[in-house]
Amino acid sequence: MNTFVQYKVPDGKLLQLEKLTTGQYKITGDFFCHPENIIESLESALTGTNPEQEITNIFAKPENQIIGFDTESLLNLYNQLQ
Amino acid sequence: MDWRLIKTQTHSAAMNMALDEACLEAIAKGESAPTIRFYRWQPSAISIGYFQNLEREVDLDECKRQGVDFVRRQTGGGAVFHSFEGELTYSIIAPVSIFPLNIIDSYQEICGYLVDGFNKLGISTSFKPINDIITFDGKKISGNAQLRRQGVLLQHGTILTTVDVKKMFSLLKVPDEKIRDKMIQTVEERVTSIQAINPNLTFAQIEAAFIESFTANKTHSLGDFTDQELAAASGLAQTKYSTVTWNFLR
Repeated sequence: MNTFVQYKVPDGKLLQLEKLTTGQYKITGDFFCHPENIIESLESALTGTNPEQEITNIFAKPENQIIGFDTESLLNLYNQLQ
Repeated sequence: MDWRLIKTQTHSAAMNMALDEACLEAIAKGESAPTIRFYRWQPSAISIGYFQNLEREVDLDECKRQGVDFVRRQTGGGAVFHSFEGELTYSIIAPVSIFPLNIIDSYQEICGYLVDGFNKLGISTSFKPINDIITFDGKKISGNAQLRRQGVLLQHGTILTTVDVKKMFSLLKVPDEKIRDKMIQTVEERVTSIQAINPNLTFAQIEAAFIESFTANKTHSLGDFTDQELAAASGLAQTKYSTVTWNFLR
């Protein structure tokens, strides 16, 4: 079973998603997140009951600026690992 | 606002990143003036972005073999080879309130200082969002990365003076995805450097041009790190930026 996928977001950055043996996810790549600790929120949302909604909510918060990938890119990679 | 200019100093990878953090903390507390610093890396080093996986990005065995250091930055972005011979790095650290709120707009403003500096050297460049400076023929000559913390903005970036692309990519693991996406035959076509365009420009001339462009229209004084910043940075270099825990964080 595939545990690592990546995608170069058009006009964005390289986004990588890894499914760990613990069932948790790790998001890596050469993107930017402001504040940086959003990344843990995104990773946690992927193991939640409704990842799509939770990821969308995180992106929608005005205080969060995620540069280099979007909701769709992340959820596409997530779906490839299911 | 009176800026502090710290002219080019050479430090290890860990110390360079530690000085950035110590300086940010001091500015956040109101203990230091907003700062522009220039620096070099010795030994040469790879820095990776905060969100990258070190082992996936960097050939650590090859780094060891070539005596090249490595460090994780606090900022996002990609892996960068900081050659002692071939690269001048800058950091600008100041209250976030003086920059545009929008991240890309603030990149554009600060990268404007770089474009002006390249202009002074007779090199035509432009800002390419998200965070690059490219030459007239589309080659990357500077990459930049920013963070905002405790009301302070830190942006640092590279000014490529010479580039040994073969050496650079011998140390980095460039994902196939990137090469395919940019549709290039060789990685040598993607980057250039100041001395590749004008071999007659010296490091001193290059440094002078960017000091001038970064301090233009800014009241500034030539200075150095305070004793407190140096002590804090020494601690951070040892307890954070040199550690496996930090560098292999993700």
